[in-house]
Amino acid sequence: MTVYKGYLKLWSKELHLVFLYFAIFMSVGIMMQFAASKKQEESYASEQLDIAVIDEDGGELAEGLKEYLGKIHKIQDIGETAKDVQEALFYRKVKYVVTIPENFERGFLEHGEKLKTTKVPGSEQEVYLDSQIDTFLNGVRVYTAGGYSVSEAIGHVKNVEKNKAEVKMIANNETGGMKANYVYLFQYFPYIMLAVLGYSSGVLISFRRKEIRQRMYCSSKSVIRQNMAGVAAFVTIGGIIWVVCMVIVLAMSGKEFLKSANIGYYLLNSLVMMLVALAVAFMLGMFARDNDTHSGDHNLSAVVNVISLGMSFLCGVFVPLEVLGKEVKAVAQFLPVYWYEVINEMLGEFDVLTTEMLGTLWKGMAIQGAFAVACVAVALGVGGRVREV
Amino acid sequence: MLHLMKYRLKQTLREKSSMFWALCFPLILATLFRFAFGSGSFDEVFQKIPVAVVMTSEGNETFREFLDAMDGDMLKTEEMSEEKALKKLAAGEVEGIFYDTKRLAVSSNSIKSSILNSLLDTYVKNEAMMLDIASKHPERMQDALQAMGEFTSTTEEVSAGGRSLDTGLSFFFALMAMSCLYGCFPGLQVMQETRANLAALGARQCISPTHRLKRILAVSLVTYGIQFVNSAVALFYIRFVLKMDFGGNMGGMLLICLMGSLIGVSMGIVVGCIGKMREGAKVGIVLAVSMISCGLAGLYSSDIKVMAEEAIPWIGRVNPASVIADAFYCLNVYNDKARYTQCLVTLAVMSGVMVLAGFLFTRRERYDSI
Repeated sequence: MTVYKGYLKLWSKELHLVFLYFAIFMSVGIMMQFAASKKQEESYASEQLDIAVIDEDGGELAEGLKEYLGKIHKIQDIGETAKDVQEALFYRKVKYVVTIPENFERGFLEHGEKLKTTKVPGSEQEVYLDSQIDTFLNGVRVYTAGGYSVSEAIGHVKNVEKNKAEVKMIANNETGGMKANYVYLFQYFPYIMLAVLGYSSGVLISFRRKEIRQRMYCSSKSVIRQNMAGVAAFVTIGGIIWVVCMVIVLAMSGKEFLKSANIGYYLLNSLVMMLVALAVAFMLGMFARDNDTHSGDHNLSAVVNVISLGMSFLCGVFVPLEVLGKEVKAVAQFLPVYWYEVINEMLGEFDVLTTEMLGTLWKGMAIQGAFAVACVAVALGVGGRVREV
Repeated sequence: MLHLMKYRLKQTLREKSSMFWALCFPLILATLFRFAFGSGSFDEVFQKIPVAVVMTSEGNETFREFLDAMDGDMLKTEEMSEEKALKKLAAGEVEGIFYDTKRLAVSSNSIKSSILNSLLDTYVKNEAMMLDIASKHPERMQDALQAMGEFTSTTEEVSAGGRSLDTGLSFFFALMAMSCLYGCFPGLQVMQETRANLAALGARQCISPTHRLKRILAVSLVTYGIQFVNSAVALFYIRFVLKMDFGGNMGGMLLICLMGSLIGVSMGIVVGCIGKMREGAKVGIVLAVSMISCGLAGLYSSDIKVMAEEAIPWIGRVNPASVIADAFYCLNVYNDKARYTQCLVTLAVMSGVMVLAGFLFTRRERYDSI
């Protein structure tokens, strides 16, 4: 108990730093949750955007396009020079600018000339605008090839536009096929855990100082019991942070989360991830240099950052799994965070899990567990070697 | 002065931890970014979406043929009963169900379902067009069909300055901002070491006859220099090793690195001058400030930058990381000299204010006994 208390006492001395790091990472997580869920809503509703059309052509086709876009979006007047366009985009007055060049009508129908578009960098919902323009112009091309005049073609395209595909949503979850907000918070959970627990492992460094080690070996308690006390203290620390994270999830979207059919699996998956993060932290604490705590601290935070950010970027914490490249996924499936994210995505999408999905779920958790055990084994192995020295 | 500079240079280069943050960490992160965003083209990621096809009694052969044509190319179709199809949809084995009555059922709003949606939409519209043409100009059907076969993208994205744009670049701009801002680590370390109440070295230097201003000037110059080299290395690495499309003028980008390093180091200096907090706490503060600043500039997700700009427009004008990233945008994307200069001036003014604040915190500090 003395060793256990010792670990916790040291940790509580660092508590202000732990809270500082926790606040930093949590605010990044919350920021990302807002951005991701806002993006999801936008991709769902065909939103009206502020756009600008610079018409240097003035022909029939250009007018038709302007009118067509004006019905879907809000056309703003921003001026015509390059400087005006830059100004408008820089201050987000408009999000999309399309320039219809001189003699576009002939250029497009005869040589397939393209329209020049400019978007606010980094924003993606404007892709839909590209496809709206594609549909309109290609339609006009087909009609003119089919013997219609340009003005007739424009009229017909506008008519055809009224035909919409009939799409039915048979959602597999309560949120109508959308991911609930808390799914995003759980998506960032591994990063928060790996980073915060990683920093907490600094406690181990103090315990590995030569004098303290020597003092502890003199005690009547066996080394195994001392180590077990250390592990228990670490599990306590992890548990506290896990509970705080869950309280934040409850505070942010408690009603939704409590209604979720998969609440048990969410808790279990995050608990297993917490153990992985603990095991990684425990291993790092054992590896960090112990001859002087000051530089040990720095080395530790460097390694913690590389590991937490590295795993997060490769395993789908920051970038969704569905847009990661094949090669990246091939490497990522050896890492526990990847499996955590696979399970999290599945839980977010399906309320009822089939046998096959449950298979994936248990396999994923087993891989995470195995990784955690491997880390602890390596850590204890290193601990043993250090003792012999 | 030269003597002081020489030893500060040696000392900073040997301080592995702050050199790690300022030099190695951005390079590691850039490599990770390249892996996460650089590989995996659209075709590779979205190969063959599995869909179920349900035939009904009032079926439409043309639509079936259209789906067959897509099979193996974009879709992986399988004909089955409605009951089985619904089961497979619920199990996530298929992404959607196409009914031959030109209907589609999907279970989520993933990118794959929106591809299926737009596929059906195109079909419905093209069919209406063909029926139109067949009824009025049947003789031109062949030409119309050919024109339809040549369905192409009719837009081309250019930046406001006329260059084309890769969205992944925004992450690298934010990363360059981070590389510059991480100059706060060497900056902080230097300040900690020159203060007599915080470090033995500071106490020793304090009793030397060298003027304090001279001392601080020497160490600041060296730290700025080192940080400039660090961020220039990051820039060269991203441009030439990772081969990201940083097409702007290299001299201009190096100037951003110089001003960015100035603000990064100044930030470290000002935090180093505040109070008697332990180094760990101060590292936490600079880390928090730089991470949140970079987060708002789009380091974790470009959506955050867009969202922040829409919600609180002025934040992008005063947040150092956003200003640095914007300067890169101005050179590489907007090709906008005036705003580029404005960004650099903002950085210079902010650095000036920070150094002044640092000076005010430490001036006339006297120690009776340490």
